[in-house]
Amino acid sequence: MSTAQPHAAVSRPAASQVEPLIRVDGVGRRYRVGDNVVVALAGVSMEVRAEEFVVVLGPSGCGKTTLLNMIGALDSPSEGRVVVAGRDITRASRKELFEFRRHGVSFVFQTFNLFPALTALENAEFGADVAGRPDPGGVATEMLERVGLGDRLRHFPHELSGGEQQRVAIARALASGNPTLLADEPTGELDFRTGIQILELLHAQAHTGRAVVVVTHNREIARVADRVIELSSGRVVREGPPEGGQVEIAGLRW
Amino acid sequence: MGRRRRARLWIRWALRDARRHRFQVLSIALLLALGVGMYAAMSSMSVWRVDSADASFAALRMHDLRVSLVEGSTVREGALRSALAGSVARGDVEAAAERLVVPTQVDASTSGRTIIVPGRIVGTPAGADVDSVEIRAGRAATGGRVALEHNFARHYDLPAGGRLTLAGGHRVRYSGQALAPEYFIVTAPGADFGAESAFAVVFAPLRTAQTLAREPGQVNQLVVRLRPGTDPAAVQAHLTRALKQALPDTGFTFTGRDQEPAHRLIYKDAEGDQEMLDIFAFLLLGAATFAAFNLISRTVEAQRREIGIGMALGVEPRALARRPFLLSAQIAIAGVALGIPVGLAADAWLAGVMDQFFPLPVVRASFQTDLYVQGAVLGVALPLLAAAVPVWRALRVTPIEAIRVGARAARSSGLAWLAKGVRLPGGSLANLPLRNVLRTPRRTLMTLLGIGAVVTIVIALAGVMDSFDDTLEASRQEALTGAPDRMTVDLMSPQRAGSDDIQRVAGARTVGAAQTSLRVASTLVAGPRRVDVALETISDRRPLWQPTFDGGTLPAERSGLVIARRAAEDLHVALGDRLTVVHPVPTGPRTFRLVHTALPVTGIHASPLRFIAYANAPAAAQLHLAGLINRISVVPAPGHDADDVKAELLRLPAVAAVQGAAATTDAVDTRMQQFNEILLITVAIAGAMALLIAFNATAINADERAREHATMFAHGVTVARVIRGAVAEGLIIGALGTAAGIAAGHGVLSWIVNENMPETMPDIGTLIAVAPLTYALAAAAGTIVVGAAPLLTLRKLSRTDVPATLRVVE
Repeated sequence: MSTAQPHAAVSRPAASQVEPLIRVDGVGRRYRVGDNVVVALAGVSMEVRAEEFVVVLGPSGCGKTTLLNMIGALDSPSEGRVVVAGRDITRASRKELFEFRRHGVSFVFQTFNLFPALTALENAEFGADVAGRPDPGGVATEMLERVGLGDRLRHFPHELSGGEQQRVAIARALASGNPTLLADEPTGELDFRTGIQILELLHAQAHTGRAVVVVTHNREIARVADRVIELSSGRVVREGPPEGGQVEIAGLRW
Repeated sequence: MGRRRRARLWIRWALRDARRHRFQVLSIALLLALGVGMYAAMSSMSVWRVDSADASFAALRMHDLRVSLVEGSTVREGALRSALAGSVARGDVEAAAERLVVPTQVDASTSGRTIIVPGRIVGTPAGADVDSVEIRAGRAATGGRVALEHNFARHYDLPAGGRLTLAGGHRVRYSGQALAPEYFIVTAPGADFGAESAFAVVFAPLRTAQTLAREPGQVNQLVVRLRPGTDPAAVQAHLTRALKQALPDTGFTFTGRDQEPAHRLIYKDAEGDQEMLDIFAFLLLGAATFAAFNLISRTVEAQRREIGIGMALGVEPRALARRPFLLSAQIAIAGVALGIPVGLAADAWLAGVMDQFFPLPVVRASFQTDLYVQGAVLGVALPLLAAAVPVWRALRVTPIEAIRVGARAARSSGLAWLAKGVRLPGGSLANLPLRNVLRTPRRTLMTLLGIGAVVTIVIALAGVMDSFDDTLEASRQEALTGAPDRMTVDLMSPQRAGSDDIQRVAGARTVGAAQTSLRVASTLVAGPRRVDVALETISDRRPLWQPTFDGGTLPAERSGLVIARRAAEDLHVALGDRLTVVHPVPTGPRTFRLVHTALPVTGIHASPLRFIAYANAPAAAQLHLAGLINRISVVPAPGHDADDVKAELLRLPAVAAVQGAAATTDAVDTRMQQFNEILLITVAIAGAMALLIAFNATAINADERAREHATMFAHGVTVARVIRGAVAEGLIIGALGTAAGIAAGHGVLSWIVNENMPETMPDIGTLIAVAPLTYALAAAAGTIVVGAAPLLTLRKLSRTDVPATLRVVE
């Protein structure tokens, strides 16, 4: 697998010198289920800067995906503010939200969500296309080469392994050139060995100037994060460096 | 769980499934209902027409045998009855009546509308127990009054009673409108199709008819009703001997009940029209059931994951199949149940159409249960089969494979590899529609074929109308070439060229120019093949008009016969071959006999009407008809129009008819109108079916692709852009379906025109034509409707819960 290189579209100021790329301020999210109100998030605040690799950790149902959806403008909070790259997306119009998703964030999903009718190259190209990048084909090829799939460009998703599919999904996210990368349980569908490879890829993106937020229930993954935000029952119960200190990816076991 | 409780659970579950997919279930059921209901109704028409015709002919006691003296001949009243009384056949006769039937001109003009057409006076003795009439409006004709034929009166929306002017300037009152068995379908002489707009029949008491025809005490027909079980051929043989003995100088013809144009056409039309309607009925049923098969199959496919869960829980495959089968059974039952009101509505509509075009005294248009059951069997069987395929597909894999829908979705790219090297401008999003079409070839093919069937219906049906239009236009052009105002004046009986009557017509104030000819009803015979024609002998001097030759010519020096291409094909003759012409020749001032004369075919004319034939002057001499004239082609003088010519010439006693030269074509045109309504409504139903198919396919697509769409939304692709992609996909499938439908439609149209119409409409050599508007209609039904259907999912897509859709736990 090739090493991730700095991306031209992403600026790389030092983390300490810049404003947070993501600022979540007192965000709450309530859902009405029948006569009951379910609180998915309550008063969550957090910040993520460029070049940071942040893991949002928590058990199933703790609200971590809801939080990711708020940052990615897929959902809107019942209260609080979400500011990404200086834009308050909680006050944005529907049109602005679509535009934000095209140019502000990139998603990597647990179940890949590739387009089955498109080849690996075309799936990656989709990300560049949507973001309006020039030469989307060239960008997509470059990203697939970076994730080690230079020889699988013309393969359809069904011709790729799970790990390869997830790498295509990452290439698609990277091809957009957006400064924020959001990954929802990116290793959930993968075996350990492949999961490690994906983690390395995502981790490397933080060194290209992006802010990377990974949502997982796997405590082992949290050990490689720059910072861990732990949720329980919709609230932040701990924030800081990994317990027991940050380790190299090679040292992970699950 | 007890057996009964378990059964209740499955039924409840299936009902919930149906409720959840209620719009899909309802629209698929509606598709089935349209197919089954229309199939039953359209297939029923010949049964209704035959039943109604049988009952109507019986109710009005139609004759079994008609004896007609050769055109222009009459005998004294009682002569024909005497001949019958003297024959050994008299014991087989239940009722007989002498009639006087003479050609005339009928002026039924109303204020603001000129209606002058050729016609016929039918004089029948009072109290005759054969060939009764049914008064449909007004009162029966008595005294000096007459009754007007109902089909004609209804065509022009004439009142129940009024005034008519007949040839010779006779003004009579008609007291009612009547239906008679010989005119259930009105035909003009020499033409084998309905002509209610161009031919008026006037029913009169015999005395009144004799007065109007200036034939006091004369008759020219004998109609006979036989006792049940009598052989008409034997009676005809006895009667022939008796008539030849009693009237040696008079030619006569026999017409059996089955040969009467109305009788023959009503059954032949019923059979022939049914063949055509059957094609459309099958196409509608086929398209509906095919679409239902496809849509149900896809709806059940969506339950695959739940089938997998059931398998994982150890539920028996047989039990797992229950729910999808119950769902499809509900659709089938709903479709078949809805099909009954659809069928009844279609029955009422088609019965109305039938009554409009073929009004009969007795109408029997009952719901044909057996035909409905035929359609319903298919309507039930195919949905169940549609469920069986996806159930089988789900049950043959491991439970985990069935459960992992997402993995399955990415398990194959179908035929997308075909387009791997194809790069459409516009990036990967622009390439998605084509890829999606190729990714699921089975689904694409099924939708495509459903749309194709609908387009086939549109092309074939509308193509039939276009072909009629083109054919009639060709006929009209041929009749009016070089003289668009040309009219034909038919005389009561043939006269010598230059007679006073002919001079009066040619020299009339309103007539600009004239050209004379003789037109006689004849039969062309080549071996066992016979074609009835109106043979027109024309001279070398043709200042107004002459036929256009598609092949050969009408030579000046030697005998020549020009016939229609259809006639040549039907008689199996080519240019240069000789034909036998069976035609009348005068034997006295009022008598004719039939003779056989051989003539060479020297030309093929351009008219598509088979019954038109021409002979030249040398041929006329050979036919012993030289110098005789009964038709004069005229054009109005400057400052006058057709109505002026009709009004002036009608006053001349020798004139039987004055009409536009394309009147025969117009009569055929009127006959074709009956199909237009049926065809147009069937096309409209086909369009509705296209919309239902497209809507369902789109709705199912939207469900199946929910995650793909959510992924796009997560990447910032707008709803409008996703809809655009779906529209593009719909347009591709619609265009392919339209292309397939156009090809199949042409095939069906070609079969109808080349195989079916020669049987059902032998007198017309129909040309195959499809108008640009028809292609536009087909494109609208097949492409635009399918392409526009995704717009119906706009609301649903706009309300996509992106996070929930993306986080399907598997």
